[in-house]
Order: sequence, then C-alpha cells, then structure tokens
Amino acid sequence: MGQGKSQFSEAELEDYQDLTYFTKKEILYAHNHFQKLAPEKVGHNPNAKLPMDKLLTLPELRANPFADRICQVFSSSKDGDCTFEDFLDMMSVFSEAAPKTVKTAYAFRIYDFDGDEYLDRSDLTQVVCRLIGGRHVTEPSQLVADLRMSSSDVDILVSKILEEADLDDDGRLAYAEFDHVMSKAPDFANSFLIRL
Amino acid sequence: DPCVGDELFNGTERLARSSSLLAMPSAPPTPSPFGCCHVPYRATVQQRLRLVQELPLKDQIFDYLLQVLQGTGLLEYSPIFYGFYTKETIYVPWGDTTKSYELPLAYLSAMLFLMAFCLVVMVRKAAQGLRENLRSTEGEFYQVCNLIFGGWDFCVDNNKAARVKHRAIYNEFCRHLDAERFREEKEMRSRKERSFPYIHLLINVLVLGIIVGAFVMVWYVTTFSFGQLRLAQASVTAGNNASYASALTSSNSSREFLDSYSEVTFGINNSHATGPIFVGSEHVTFTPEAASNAADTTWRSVMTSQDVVSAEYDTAFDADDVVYDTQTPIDAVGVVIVPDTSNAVLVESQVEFVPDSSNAVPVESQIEFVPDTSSAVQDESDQLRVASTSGAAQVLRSTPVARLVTASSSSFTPLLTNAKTTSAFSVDEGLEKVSEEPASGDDLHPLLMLVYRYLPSATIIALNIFVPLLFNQLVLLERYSTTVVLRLTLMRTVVLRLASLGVLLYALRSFTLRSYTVDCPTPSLHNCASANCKGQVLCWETYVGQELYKLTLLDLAVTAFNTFFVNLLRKVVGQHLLKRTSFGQRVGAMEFEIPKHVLDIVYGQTLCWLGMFYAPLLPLITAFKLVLVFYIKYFDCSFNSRQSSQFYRTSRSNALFISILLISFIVTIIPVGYSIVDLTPSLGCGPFRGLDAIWTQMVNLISALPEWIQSVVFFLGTAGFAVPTIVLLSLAGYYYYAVASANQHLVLMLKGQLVLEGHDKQFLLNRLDLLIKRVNEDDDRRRRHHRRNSDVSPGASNDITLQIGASR
Repeated sequence: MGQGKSQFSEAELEDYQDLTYFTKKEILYAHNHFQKLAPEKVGHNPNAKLPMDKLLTLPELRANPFADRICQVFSSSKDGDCTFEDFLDMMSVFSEAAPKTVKTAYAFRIYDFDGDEYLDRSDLTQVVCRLIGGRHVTEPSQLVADLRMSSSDVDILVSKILEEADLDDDGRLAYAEFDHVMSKAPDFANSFLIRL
Repeated sequence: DPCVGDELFNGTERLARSSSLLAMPSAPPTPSPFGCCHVPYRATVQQRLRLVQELPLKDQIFDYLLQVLQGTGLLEYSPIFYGFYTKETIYVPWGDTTKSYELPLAYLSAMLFLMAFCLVVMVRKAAQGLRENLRSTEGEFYQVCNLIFGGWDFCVDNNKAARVKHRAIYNEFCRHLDAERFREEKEMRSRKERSFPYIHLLINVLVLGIIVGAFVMVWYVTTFSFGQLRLAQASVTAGNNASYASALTSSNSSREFLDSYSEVTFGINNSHATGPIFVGSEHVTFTPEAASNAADTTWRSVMTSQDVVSAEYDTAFDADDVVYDTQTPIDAVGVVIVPDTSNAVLVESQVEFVPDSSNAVPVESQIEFVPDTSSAVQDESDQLRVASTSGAAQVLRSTPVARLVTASSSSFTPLLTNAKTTSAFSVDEGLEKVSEEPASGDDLHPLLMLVYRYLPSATIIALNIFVPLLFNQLVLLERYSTTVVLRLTLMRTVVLRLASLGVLLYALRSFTLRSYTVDCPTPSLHNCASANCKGQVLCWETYVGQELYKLTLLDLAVTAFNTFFVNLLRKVVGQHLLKRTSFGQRVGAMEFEIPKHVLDIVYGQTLCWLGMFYAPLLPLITAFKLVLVFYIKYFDCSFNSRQSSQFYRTSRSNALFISILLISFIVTIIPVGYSIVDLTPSLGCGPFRGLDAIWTQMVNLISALPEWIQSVVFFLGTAGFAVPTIVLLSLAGYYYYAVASANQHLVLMLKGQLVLEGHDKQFLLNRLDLLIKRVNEDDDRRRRHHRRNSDVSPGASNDITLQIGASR
C-alpha cells in the first residue's frame, strides 16, 4: 500500500470505517483510486481538493449523465470540488452496504437540480433529457440524431411522472412522495450502485 | 422366484431364438400367484440384446446408438424405466424379528411424496409472488417513475455501454408515449365509433380452432406412426415368411410306379398339415413312360422359419401290381428336412409304411423293417427315430427283410410271377428358399423405424415452435395494451403445449392398452400374451416412459439446433454478411425473449413430471438436460442476440411464471393420477403386476392397518366429509377476498384524502400568505401614518391585526 498506508493512522481508519459503509481495505483502495487522479497533489495533503473536471475523468463517473450533480451534492464546498473525504462519502453511499433510505435521500438531492427541495417540472425535464442524451443535454431541443424527442413529448412524460407520484397534487414532488415511489421500486437499489 | 428354472421356459427360450418376439405357449399354472409373465418379458429384451451382439462391430455401435436414442435395448431393462422394478419384499433382520420392506409400496410412496413436495414448494413460491404482486399493484402505476428514477445503471463506466443504455431508455420512453397515445385514441374511439366489437370473440374462436387443429394433427401423426411400427413389429415377430420348395423326384426309372401316390403329409410343429404333392391340388399319376424321365415337381408351402418340417407320406401299395417276395427288398427312402438354422433342434420323425387297407381283401402281413447302417434307432413299434442335424438331409432306409404275406381268404390275388420292386420316391434333399416376403423386421430400415418412433414428438415440438408465431400475429389484430398482449399470448401458448401433450398421452393409452392385432384376447395370468398376438406390447408402462424420454431428448436437441444452427446462421448472415441490407437487418435482429425461454423450461419440467412415474430416473436426466440448456441459452443470449433494447420487469413477471408452472403441475397430476387409480398395470413387468390398479396397493395397505385408522380414512372419503369441507373452504376464501378488496378500497380512499390534505395545505398557505401580506401592508401604512402624525400614539385598538403589528 506504500504511501497510502502511511497517510492514515489507525485511528483515522477506524473513524472512516465507522462513518461510512466501507471496510478498511475498501477505504484504502478508494484512496488509491482517488490518488491516481493527481498523485503529487494528494500525496502530500490529505485534505487536497480536486477540481470537478478531474473527478469527471474517473471511470465510475465519466459516463454518468448525473456526474456533475453528484459531485456538487457531495462536495463540502458545494461547488463540485471534492476532497478525499467527500469522495469517500460519495462511494460509500453508492456502495452495496448502504441502506435504501440513504440512497433515496441522496438520489433526491441529486435529481433536485435547482436545490429547492422539490422536484418540479424543470428538474424533471432536465432528468429526462439527461437520461436520453447524456450529461450535456439539459433541454429537449438539444436532443439530436436518432434520440430526438420533441418537447411536447418530454412534457407528456413529465406529466405522467407527476400524475403517478404527486400525491398532494401540488405540481411538484416533495421528498415524502419521492420516498414513497422509491419504496415500491424493485430495481432501485440495484441500479443506484457503484462498485469500486 | 418360482418362475425361473422351469423346464418349460427353457424349451421356449430355445424356440425364441429363431423369432424376435416370444410366443408364449399356454403354460400350466405356476406357483407364483402373479403369473410368470415377467420372465418372458425379460427374456425377450435380453434376447434382442443378444441378437445385437451377434452383429458386426459397426452395426453394433449403430444399434447401441439407436438404443440410447430410443430408450430400448440396453436401457429398456434398466433402472431408468418402470419395467425394471420388481415385486419383491426385502426382509431385514431387526433385532429379534425381521422387518419387511415392500418395494412396490416404497415405489408408490416415493412418487406420491415427491409430487406432494413439489406442490408444497410451488404453492409457497406462488403465494409469495402473489403477495408481492398484490402489495405492489401500485407498482403497475409507477412504471414511468421507476424508469426515470431507477432507470440508469450507475455501474456503467464506458461510453459505448452508455450509448446502449441511452438508446434502451429512449426506446422505453417511446413505448410509454405510444401506450399513452394508444390509450387516448382508444378513449376517443370508444366515444366516437363502435369499432368492430366482435373482433375479440372472433380472434378467440380462431385461436381455439387453431389449437383444435393442432390436436387433430398430433392425433393423426401418432396414429400413423404407431400403425407403421405395428406393421413392422408384427412382421418381425411373425417370422420370416418364406416359401420353401421341395421337389419330388423319382429316381428309379425301371420300375412300375404305384399308380397313385397319396398325399404327402408335411408336419409343422408336430401337428400335421397335409398338402398335395404337386402344385395345386392335382395328383399326377406317374405313368410308366413318364417314369423313365425323372419328373421334377415342386411343391410350395408357406412356412415360417421356426417350423419343423417333417415328412410323412403314406404310400399306397397296390396289391395287384406289386409282388412281394421274400427276397426283394423294398427300398423306401424318406427324407427329413430340417430348416437351416444355426442351432440343433431335436426332431422326431416318423416314417411309416402302411399297406393300403382300402383293399377289401384282408391281408395279413408282417413287415419287418430293418434300418440301414446309418444312425437310425429303432423303436419298439415300427417306427424309426432319427437324430439329424440342420441342413443335412437324413436318409432313412429301411429294408424289409422278410415279408410274409398270408392270405386268409380265398379271394386273395395270387402272386404275380414277376418281382417288381417299388420305386423309390425321394423328397428332394433340403428345402430351398424360393422366395421371401419382404416382411422381415430387418427390411424396415432401423433409421426409418427411428423416424417413425420420433414422429409424434417431432410434431409436437414443431407445433410448439410455429403456432406461437401465428398467435403473435393474431394478437396484434386485437389491439390490446402491451401487458395484456404478453399475458394473453403466454396463456394461449401454455394451453397449446399442455393440450398437445394431453393428446399424445391419450393416443399412447389407446394404442398400448389395446392389442395391436385384432382379436387378441386380454392377457391373463396364465396366458401372458397369446400366441397369435405377436405384436402385443408386453410392458406398456415402459413404453410410455420411453415416449416421454424421447420427448425430453428431442427437446434438448431442438434447443441446441435452434441456438447453434438457426440463430448462429441468422447472426452471421444478418450481422456480418448482409449487414447493410434491410433484409439482413431483419434477419439478424434477434433478441433474447424471456417469456419464450421461460416457457421452454416450464415445458421441460412438465415432461419431467409426466414421465416421473413411468421412468423414475427421468428427473435425473432432466437435471442434466437443464444444465446443458442453461449453457446453450447463455451462449444464445451473449453471442447471438444483440443488446436488448427493452427493459424487462422480471421481478413482476416472476409471479406469472410460477403460476404457469403451478397450472402445468396441476394439469399433469390429472393423467398420472388417473393412470394410478384406473389403469391395469401390465402383467409382464413392474412392481404392481397382477393388481387391478396401482392404487389397490394402497388400499391393501390401509386394509392392513388397525380398525380405527381404517374407519377414519373411509370417513374422509365419504360425502359427509367432503361437502362440509368444500363449503367451509369456499366461505374462508370468500372472506379473505372480501377483506382484500376492502383494503384496496381503503387505500384508494386514503389516497383521495391525501389529495384533499394537499389542497387544504395549499389553502392554508394561501391564507397565511394573504395574512402576512395584509399585516405588512398595515405595518407600512401605520409607519407612514406614524411618520405623518408622529405624535399620535397607536394606543389600543380592537383591530387584532393592528395589535399584532404594534406588538412587532
């Protein structure tokens, strides 16, 4: 493990193990992974903060349509730049050991693009567009080629979501409603999973 | 076993070597109370095996292969099939006493226990699935949410997979949009015009018609192939029908013939049949002139190869013509012909020379015969017995040494002066085969027999492949939504598969329980299979087991063929060779359709359950087959098919598949149960032979139990128990259903209440907003007012809002 092991004391590893859903071995592996992004920077400073575009080159995040939002949610400074502890937090939530409630909570925050603690139509529209077109598509008009969908169609889809999930009929999804839907979803825990 | 070691059976065993199926002579009652019919069955199977071993090596291997494919030969009398198990009781010493272990009872109990166990396991799984389904029927309503929030697989880490995933999600969205549009269209359609309302009825009738057509086809094919097999088998067992010719020649030209030669008796199996010497029924008299040339005539008779031919002929001596004197030797030659088989057969023959007693003149004569120096043995009577070997003509000569004729009446014709000798007649040495009917078993080529044996199974599997395609096309006309389409097609295919299996079983029952040939009596304990009914199947349970075994093997073969030839070819053609053409696209576009593959597996399991009773090791074979099928389908999925562009909600369909499995199980219980309770087990094999029905074994067991258990069990079977139980169970079922529907209604009500709560919340928030706005306005007004009239103090006021504003 070399340099990685000397970075952390036994007590720190214990702490990390208590605070996340990882074992010591997995924590060290995660650190190794993180360090490969910028070895000199991370090697000296345990609290080194890596910029978002560096993080988006990670194999786990590079193909993900919500990767930037993930980084923003987990970043302690809310601007997308993550320290190792933020990264560890992120991976721990996405691990297999994390319970469904934790995943649901974070999923809600990830999908809430404007941060107002409600999933309203604009959030949902962006979710749909990103699912079809990838990270850089935030509007139906940006959908191109054979994955084209008109904005009226996207609206129909968003209306369907609200019709299904919005229980109190206020035109947006609160966390309680989102949680209710996700509790019935059989595959959610399996898809909201990143294996390091 | 009191049946083995019986002399009778040894004799018939030898005879059996020349024929393929044993014709049981009517045996005298044997000490075994269940008859000894299992001995000839075993003997038949073993004898067939021995026939195979006598073939050259290449043919042997080919034959062994056929045996494995058909379950005959080596496999027939093996633990795989029912016929191997015997009616034994094993005695085990246990302390001071011996305990008995009855094999038949063990067999029956093991089967019943297995079925009960399967039923319990499946019902539990089905209940779990049903509970999941009921609990999350709202899961039906969350399809789009699940797709959007849980649709992206976060494990995806490269762009290529990401593109595939994007496309899959896009397709799902399009499907939902289409469903939405379809629903709107349907609503508008139902409001505007009544489209052809009978289309559903019509399509269902059509589907029913197709299924009935499939029945008829299976029935016809089964009948046809059984008929062909019966012909082949009957001809094999009846022996080679060959014509043998023998020629009668006279060799001595210088003598005077007897004027007539009475019938030559040919003995077949020691029972004599007589026939004319010449072709047809004409006698030919030998004339002296004609006597100078040797006259060859042929005489034909249809005989079987196992027949023993003995010749007896009476010669008529005309006292007028023949002169005997004491010195003249009378030569007589008789020839006994033995058919050319490779085994020695002890044969008796008689050659008798009988003076013609039709002369009115009583003649006393004494004839003494002395055999010649060949290996003839003289008996006490004037009979000569000769042992002969096959193929050789045995010539008997007897020379009368002395002849004394005394006349007792005066009308005796005086002796002639000339001594004449009788002529010698010889039946030609050896019987030559002149013709042979092509009805021997070898002439129906074993490959053709294989085809006929597999024809019913092949038809069923072909129907199972092609008719669902037809169903898929038909269901498009009905314009249901996609989930309904899926379920309906699944149900129809299941009905087709189960029904065709049912038809096959019914056909099997009809053909094996009846004798193949007409006018065959039912086998009894003392007459296992009558001699004329050579086509009778001695052990029908093994036959049924073999049919299901063949179905299983064929299923495996078809799966492998489908994957490795059809799909692989399609992939090569569609995805590589003709990649750019639209034809190539359509041909190569294969996806891994889960419902079809699950149905295949359910079908294999159904076969296993059906065959389990008659082929006890069939579950083991099915286990191996399923392992192979898994790897074959894995190859198919990963190599042949493209990436699936559809999500598949496997979790929800699990309950559907388990319920299909349960339905199949219940449907298979019916024929198996019927055969246990109602059909007579065959006399020749199995642990239940001699009983009226397999269930009587159980009845016998219950009768052996103490009195009170018997009365309890009988009570359980009476109507007095059954009717109240049924009523109670129905009431309980209805109660649970009522509770469930009430709960669902409650859920709906609560959802409505939630909406109302939401409206209330909105209303209150609006009121609060209004209130705050008004307070702020008043506050501002007051401040402006206060600035203008700075000396006016607010003071007390009745207006609450002003007080609030003041206190702030």
